[in-house]
Amino acid sequence: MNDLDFVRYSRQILLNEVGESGQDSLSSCHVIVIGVGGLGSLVSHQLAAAGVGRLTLVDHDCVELSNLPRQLLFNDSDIGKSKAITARDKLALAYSQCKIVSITDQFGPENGASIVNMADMVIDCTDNFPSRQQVNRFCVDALRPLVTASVAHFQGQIFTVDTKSAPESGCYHCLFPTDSQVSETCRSVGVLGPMVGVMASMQALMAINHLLGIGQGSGKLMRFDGVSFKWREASLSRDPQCDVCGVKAKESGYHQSAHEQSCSKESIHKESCHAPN
Amino acid sequence: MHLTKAPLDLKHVSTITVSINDQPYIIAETLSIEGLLLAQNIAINSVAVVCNSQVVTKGQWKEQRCIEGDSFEIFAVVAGG
Ligand SMILES: [Zn+2]
Repeated sequence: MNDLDFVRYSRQILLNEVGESGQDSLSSCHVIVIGVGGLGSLVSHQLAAAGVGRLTLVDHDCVELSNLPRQLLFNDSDIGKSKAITARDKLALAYSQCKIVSITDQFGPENGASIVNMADMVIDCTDNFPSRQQVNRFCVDALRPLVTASVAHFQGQIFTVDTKSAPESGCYHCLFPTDSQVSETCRSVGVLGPMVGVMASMQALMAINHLLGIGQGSGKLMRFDGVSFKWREASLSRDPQCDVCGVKAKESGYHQSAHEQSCSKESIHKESCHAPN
Repeated sequence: MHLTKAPLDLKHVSTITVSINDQPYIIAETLSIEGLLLAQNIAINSVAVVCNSQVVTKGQWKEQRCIEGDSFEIFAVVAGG
C-alpha cells in the first residue's frame, strides 16, 4: 500500500478488525452488484469509496426522473442514460483505485452463471422478486456469498446467504419460496430516500464485514420498520426440501438432522409469480 | 396484511395465548402454524413465519403446533430495491 492510500484509508485501517491487512484484502476483492437503482447505486458508491478493488455493476435500466430522490449518484443530466454505465463512469472518476466494469444486459439464465462465477461476493439490489430468485439460484450453485437486501414502503429486509460457510441457514428460496405473493415494491407503494439509505448502508456494512470476517452476519434475517424505528432479528432456517440449496448443502458436507428429515415438503412450488416492475 | 380475531367457542375448545406481531391472540391449542394462518385469513403463500425468533420454513407449517406463549412474526416478502 502506498502512502497516499494509507492516508486515504487511515480511518478504516485504524480499526483493529480491519488494519492494513484487511484494507489490502478489500483491494483484492471482486464484488458484483446486481441492480444499480436505489440500493445498488448507494452500495456500489460505499464499496468503491471503502477500497474494494473490483466492482461489476449489472443493470439494464436507464435513469428516470422518479429515481432521483433516492438514487443520489444520478442527476437530471443522466436521465435516459444507462444506470450501470453512468454509475461506472462517476465512481471510476472519483475512486480511481477501484476497477469498475458495467454490464447492461439483463441478468438472467444466459449470463448469470458467468457473472456470478467472477465474484468473491454478490450483492442483490434488484427491484423485483423473480430477479431475486435468479440471483439466489446462481449464487447457491456457484457457492458464492450473497448479501440480499430489499426495501419498499417503510419496510426493509436484509440477510446473507452463504451456502459454503453457513449451509444450515439455507437460502433466499428457503425463506421465500418461488410461489410467494409479492405485494410491495417501490413502484407500487412508494418509498422514502433515507429508508433506502438505511438498508443500503446495512448491506454495504454486512458485505465488508463478511469479506473481512468481522462479526457473525450470516444466518440472521434483519427486518427494519421505518415507522416504529424497530429492528427485528430472526435466525434463518434451511428448508431440507429446498430445490435450490438442498443438493448443494449435501455436496458441501452439511448433514440434515433427524428432525429436518422428518419434515415433508407441503407444496410444489409453481413458477407463478410475475414481475411487479 | 390484516389480522382478525377468529370467532372461537371457548366452551368447547381448550385455548392458548400466543402473540402475532406483538398482539395477543387466543387460539385453539391444537392449531398448527398453517391452521393459525388460515384462522387469521392469511393466504399461505403470502407470508414468511418466524416463531420465537427462528424462521419456520413453509414445509414445517403443517406439522409444527402452536404452544402457549409462542411469539410469532408474520410478514410478507419485500422485493423492492
Ligand atoms: Zn434453500
